Amino acid sequence: MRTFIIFALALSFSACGMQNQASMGNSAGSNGMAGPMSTPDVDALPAVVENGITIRDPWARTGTEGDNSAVYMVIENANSDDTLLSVSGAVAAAVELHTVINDNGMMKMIPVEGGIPVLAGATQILKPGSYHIMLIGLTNDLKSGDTFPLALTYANAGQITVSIEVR
Amino acid sequence: MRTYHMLFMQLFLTTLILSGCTSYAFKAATIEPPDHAYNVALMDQNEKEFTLSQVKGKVALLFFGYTNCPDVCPATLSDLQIVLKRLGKNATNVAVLFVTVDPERDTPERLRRFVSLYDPATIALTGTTDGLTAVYQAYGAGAQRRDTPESALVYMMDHTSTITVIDKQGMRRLLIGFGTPIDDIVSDINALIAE
Repeated sequence: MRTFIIFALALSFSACGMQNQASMGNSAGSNGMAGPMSTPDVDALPAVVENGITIRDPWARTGTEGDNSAVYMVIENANSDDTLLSVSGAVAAAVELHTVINDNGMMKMIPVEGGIPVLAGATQILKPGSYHIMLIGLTNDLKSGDTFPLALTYANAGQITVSIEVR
Repeated sequence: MRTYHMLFMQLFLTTLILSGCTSYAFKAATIEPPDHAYNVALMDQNEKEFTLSQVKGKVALLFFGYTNCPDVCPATLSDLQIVLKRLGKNATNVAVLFVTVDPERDTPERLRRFVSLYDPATIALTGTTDGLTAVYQAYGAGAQRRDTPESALVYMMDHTSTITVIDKQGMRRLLIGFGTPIDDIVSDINALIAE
């Protein structure tokens, strides 16, 4: 009997020690949390540095010909304030700049007017649930490991071509 | 008398063990009290009839989206693909349900192509206007069309990005918001599977 009590208590404590004390509630509706975990865990291509603009980790989602995909990257600007005005490439029928607004849990994808700001000395992150480059009407299947070029046009830094990796 | 005493002690201790383990604190928002999940009756990507009761006994993850949505919806599907991998053997106790908010463009074939990029076991659902509207209302999808003449997409569908988690008994239990860390989702699902 004594053995049983000790065993039972030990079991009880060990089982309950696993409980997590994390706070209740979730992140629904919080803009800043979006997509910290959405980037597949793959080694990034080397950064592209041109005209004071550094582009790190450019990647696109897999997709099927005729369908859509999105491109994400980290843009650092060592110059004065700049703007990513437009993006072009043969990868899709249309390449657009979009962002996502989380309006009380409603996700609204909005075409960006006037380009994506890349402020002086700052980093602009294109990521899921935020600014991104949209590929509409893919001209080919995008399979994991493929790469394709995109030309990014900045107001000041001009055109920079980067290789995008499909993940 | 002594036997009764022993029995009582054992019963007491067993209760202590069990009760100590039911107080797992969910990381997602909990639905209090849980309610019966609306019995979705739609058509899957293989054009077969689907009802929610078909996945009773599994933990179901239901969310809304459309195949032309290349950011939020793929992000959710991609995250859930990682969640299923992390769940390991427990993944067989989970059903992922993707309900379209754009039935006009999301044909079964297009839905099939879209989910096959992620976890092919995902059940992608469409249906009649009435059937879908009932599901949107029951799960608060808030699907709304917004014309975007400035985009090649012509129009977009605004919708909630929340994942509704339905337990093995068919009760609505959790709401997972966009951007919730993978580890939190895995932990919550494991807890529901263990119930």
